[in-house]
Amino acid sequence: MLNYMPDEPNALPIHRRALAGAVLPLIGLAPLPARAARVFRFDQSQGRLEFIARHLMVLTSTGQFSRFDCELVLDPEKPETARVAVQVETGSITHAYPGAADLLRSPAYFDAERWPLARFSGRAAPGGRIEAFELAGPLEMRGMTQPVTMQARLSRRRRDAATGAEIVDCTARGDVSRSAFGMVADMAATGDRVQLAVSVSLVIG
Amino acid sequence: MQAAWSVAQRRLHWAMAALVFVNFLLALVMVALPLSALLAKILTYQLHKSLGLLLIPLWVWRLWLLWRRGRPAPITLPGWQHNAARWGQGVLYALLIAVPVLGFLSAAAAPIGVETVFFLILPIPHPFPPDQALYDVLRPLHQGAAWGLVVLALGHGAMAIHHHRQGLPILWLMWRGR
Repeated sequence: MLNYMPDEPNALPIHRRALAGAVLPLIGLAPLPARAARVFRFDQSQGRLEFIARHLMVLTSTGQFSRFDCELVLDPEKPETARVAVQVETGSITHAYPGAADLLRSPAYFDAERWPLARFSGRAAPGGRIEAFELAGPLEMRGMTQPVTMQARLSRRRRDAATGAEIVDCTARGDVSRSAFGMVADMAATGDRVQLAVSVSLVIG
Repeated sequence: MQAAWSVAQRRLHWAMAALVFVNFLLALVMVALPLSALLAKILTYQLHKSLGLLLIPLWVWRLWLLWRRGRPAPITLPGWQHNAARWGQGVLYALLIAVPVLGFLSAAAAPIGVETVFFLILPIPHPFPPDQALYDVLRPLHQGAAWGLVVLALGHGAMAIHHHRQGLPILWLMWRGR
């Protein structure tokens, strides 16, 4: 779960209650006045970053990155100004199948030793709404940079049973072509399109 | 009680025996294949799952035929051998259904979460989501039951050959029907 970070340099000095008032009207849940941009920072302890590969067109397998940092700047009044910056440690791959993580770290895939970091910085496309908006920008991986578009959305607000806090779930999904990053191993077994998926719960009140 | 095994019963018997042994060998191969042979590994896993699933309707069909048509009169054997054969065949029938069902359930519980698609054509929904704790129970059960099935089937075959060499028609009854 992710808390608003008021001490973040890029964050505007806005009270958390104002955050709730700003996000909720735009997801159609409460008629509270919106204010301005907020900065959410989260990592693997609060969020989840997965990649989903397809095999033989009918099967899928899912892996995760266990170390990453994400900064999401969200102005609920102006979703078209939302932006995100993500940094991922490519060597932090985990996969349920024994040996798969080592294979994915190898030079044939992420080449984690040579390229230990992957970065994505995206900005919202015009015309988006807070419950469904696009974040488009460059993804840098294996020393190559390609444009990627993530489809982001915020869910309905809910109350966390453990903490009692009001939260909304934020997810973003987007496809990348692995061959565009020079990742061409096992193309007969694994498709070129790999889906990236980020999910996190945002504390809004 | 019929005079001999029907053609369908005999064909099912040998088809299931072949499926069990082929699938057992396939399991050894698929586990041993390195991830560098990813395509072969995925294909052998899916083929193993598909052949295993095929055993389930064949087992139902076989039991239905046994119920409908019965079996030939038992060959006269010493009492303990007769009892051992009956118990062995009962356990074989139980393992023939337990192994594929446990295999399917362990595929469902496997944390990797790869779907089961029958011969890469027909998706078979898993009854529950991946669950590591459940997988840790089901996987060794499936494996142990599979080894038990193969060992018992080999013993069953060895006894049939033994009786055949003694002049008893057990093997012929299942091979030619009489």
